Amino acid sequence: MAKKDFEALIGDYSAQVLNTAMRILGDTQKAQDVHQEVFLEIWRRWHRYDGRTNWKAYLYRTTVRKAIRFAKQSITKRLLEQRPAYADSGEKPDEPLRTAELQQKLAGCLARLPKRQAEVFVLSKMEGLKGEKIAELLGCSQETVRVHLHRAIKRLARELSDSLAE
Amino acid sequence: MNKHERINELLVDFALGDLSQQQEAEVKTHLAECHQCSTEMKRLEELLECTERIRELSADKRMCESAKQAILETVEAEEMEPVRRTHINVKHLWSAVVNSKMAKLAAAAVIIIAILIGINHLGGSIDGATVAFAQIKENMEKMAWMHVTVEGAGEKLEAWFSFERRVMVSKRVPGEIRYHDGLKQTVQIYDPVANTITVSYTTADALAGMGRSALDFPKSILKLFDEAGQKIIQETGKYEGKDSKIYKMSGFFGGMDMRVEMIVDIDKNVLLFINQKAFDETGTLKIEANGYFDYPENGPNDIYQAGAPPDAQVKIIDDRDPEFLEAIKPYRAARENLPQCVVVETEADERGAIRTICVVYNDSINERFERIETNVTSDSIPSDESFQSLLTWASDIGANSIWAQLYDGEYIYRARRDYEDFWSIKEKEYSPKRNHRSYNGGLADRGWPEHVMYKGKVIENNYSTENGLICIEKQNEPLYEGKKLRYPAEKTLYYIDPQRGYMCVRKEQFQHHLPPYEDPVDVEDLDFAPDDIPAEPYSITEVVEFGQTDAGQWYPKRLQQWSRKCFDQGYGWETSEETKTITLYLETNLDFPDGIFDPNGLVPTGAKIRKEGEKTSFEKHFEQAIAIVDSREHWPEPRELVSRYWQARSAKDYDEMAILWPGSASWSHRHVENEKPVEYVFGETRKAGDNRVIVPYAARSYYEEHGTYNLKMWLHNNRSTKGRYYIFSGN
Repeated sequence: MAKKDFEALIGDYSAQVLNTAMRILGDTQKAQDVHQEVFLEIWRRWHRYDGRTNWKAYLYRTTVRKAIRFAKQSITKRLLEQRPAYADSGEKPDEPLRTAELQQKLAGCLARLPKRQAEVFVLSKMEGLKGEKIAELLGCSQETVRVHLHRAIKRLARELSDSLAE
Repeated sequence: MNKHERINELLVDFALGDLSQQQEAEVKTHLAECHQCSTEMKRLEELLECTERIRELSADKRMCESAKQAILETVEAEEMEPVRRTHINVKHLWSAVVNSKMAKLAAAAVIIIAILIGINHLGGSIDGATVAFAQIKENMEKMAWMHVTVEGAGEKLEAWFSFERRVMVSKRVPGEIRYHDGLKQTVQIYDPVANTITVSYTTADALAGMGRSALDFPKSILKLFDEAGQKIIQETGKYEGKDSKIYKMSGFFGGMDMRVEMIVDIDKNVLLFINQKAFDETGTLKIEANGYFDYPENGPNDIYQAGAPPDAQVKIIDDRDPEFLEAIKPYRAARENLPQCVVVETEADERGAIRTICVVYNDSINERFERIETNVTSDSIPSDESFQSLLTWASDIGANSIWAQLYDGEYIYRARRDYEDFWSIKEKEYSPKRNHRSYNGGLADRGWPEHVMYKGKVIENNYSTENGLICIEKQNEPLYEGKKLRYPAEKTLYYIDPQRGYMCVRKEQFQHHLPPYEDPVDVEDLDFAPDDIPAEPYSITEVVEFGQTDAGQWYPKRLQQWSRKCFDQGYGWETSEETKTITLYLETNLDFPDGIFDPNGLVPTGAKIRKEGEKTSFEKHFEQAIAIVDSREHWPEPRELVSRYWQARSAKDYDEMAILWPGSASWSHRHVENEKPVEYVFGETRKAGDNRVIVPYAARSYYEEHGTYNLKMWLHNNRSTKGRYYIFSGN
């Protein structure tokens, strides 16, 4: 396929990829990095696509996977650098955590979920897609989506609360 | 399930607003009185509230523009510099070569040496795209010995492999020699500088990991070029005067123009030669390497035959636990002194159905083993307790198939009778120790299993101390294929009873489950670490009734085997548990029939023998079906295909069934004839590995009642030249 098709692809889906990445990572810079990686990888294999790819589905899946991988890496990095940003004061902040901080906590929890559960959770709760649509995107049954979503929510609720209590 | 548990299950639906009014009211009442549930509810609400805020976030226009700009600039820069473009695809292999400290060596030499000396740089999975080379690999594995010489940039390396003998030898010329002996479980390393040979013990099977990677090497190269979008040209020509197939490919990798040529023997379909050249950007030949393959009848029997001088000083490193070696001595002695006997062994499930019966004849040297696959009930076992009637019962049982094996202390002879009543005879296999058994059963497996004697350690736990047993722990490392995981780590505990002739009275196995039927798995997709061992066993085998021979030798009379299996029900994993009862009937005072240990008597006289290369009717049907699969103008998608299969089955259209499910012609008539048609509904197709998909389905009535699919069909496209999916398994 020609380069202009690739440019059209970016035009059509840049916002989708950036939004998903931002919602998962809570950081515009990291979201842009994910965007860059996702599209660059596609470009490098451009000659292998034959025009039948379901780009919407493909890009959702790749973005979720990559963003979660980024989240995993930054957890490792943070662990290496030891403590979270607000720990310096020695106390937990009184006011509710800002969304960005919450997001980072949540991203950390997401990164520990089985891949499929994390995908379903992001597409459903962060992207607001319906079960039917998610089933189509992931190539599974709606029942599978429902089961994964339930498990993900149950586990995330527990882990997020533990993580906030740390 | 009590009320609390039931309501707790509904909490997520409640939080999502998916409950009926009545259920909602019920949950609310419960929340008011249950602290645990109300805490959990609060957490769920927090999470959902958080995601609601997140959902409102979106990238602004400026951010989108700058991101687009950034990617287009990078793409442009890469177009100016085409070399970088393929670089990412091949970073595992070629960057390892080009950036390696050994870069002065020829590329091929580096890779092959890297594999042989154990630096496994080969990454990425190998898919079914290169079917031809999969067959070549299989043929190479069957050779008695494979000998490889690699030369390039003034370096030379030689290697020998024998999959039959579990031996892998590598030799730098001049330089270090390594001799891995899988049967003796030793590694010998000759160091030419110090003139020493170090012998160490290992349980790792070099051939399972490195040896197979080496055989995968040609396939990896093909895949590499294929993935980078490069053409692979196949020609026929002459190599050393013989007709040969030649595969040629070229492409830019790691800043070099690489050209590879592989030559394959047409008759034997094995690799003969690899040539690799690398040119820099000015077109100058920088490195060249040649790999020569031959397949001799014999190879080096020890490190000296591989070239180590007889005067080298030998150092033995036995890092096995001394406590283990001490504990294993009486076990080993007991195992070597098993009584001369005949054993009839039955394996029954919970409903008393016997699927397998083993008959094992043992004297101090020989073993004759027959595994009979059948389907009878426990109450058909003769009750007069005479061993002879039991033997007659086993031999008249009406077997679906029989596996027969003879071991004479040096060679294993095998034969099999298939369901078409044809016998096929396998080549004898060299096995100087008894640790190469392929079937389970008999005393050498049930009471004194071989594996206890491998490297392990003595541990103590509650069970061993309470019951006065010696507990031996054995661990297996995870097994990888490239970067993917084939098996996670495994632990086995063997409990040995010193009071009962050092018999192994209990075995516990621990290992995480991997998705069934899947190809090797990406480690990232797992929710456990590959080297993690779960706390709960997945299988426990225990002797529940003991027997003693007239001479006082203990033996396991009855064993119970409990195991938990994981299977995919189409909507997630389910576990199932099963318990088997294994009963051993043993007789020590029986005259063995004449010629019972004679390899020529392994197959009954007058039996129908399948000639080598002759196809079973399954194989014939299968090939015919695949030809039709590929020749049809249109071919349905997997879900449609499965639906058509069931339509054909309802209509008893055997011809169409045999095409949609290749090979099924050999059984479908018998099984389907009296079947009543069922209306099925089908779920979405999903991937289950590189070339596999699953189509979940259920009877309409089941689906309407449960809302889930309880059955599934497995499809793959391995044999279709057009990549068309067809059914290969189902339930």
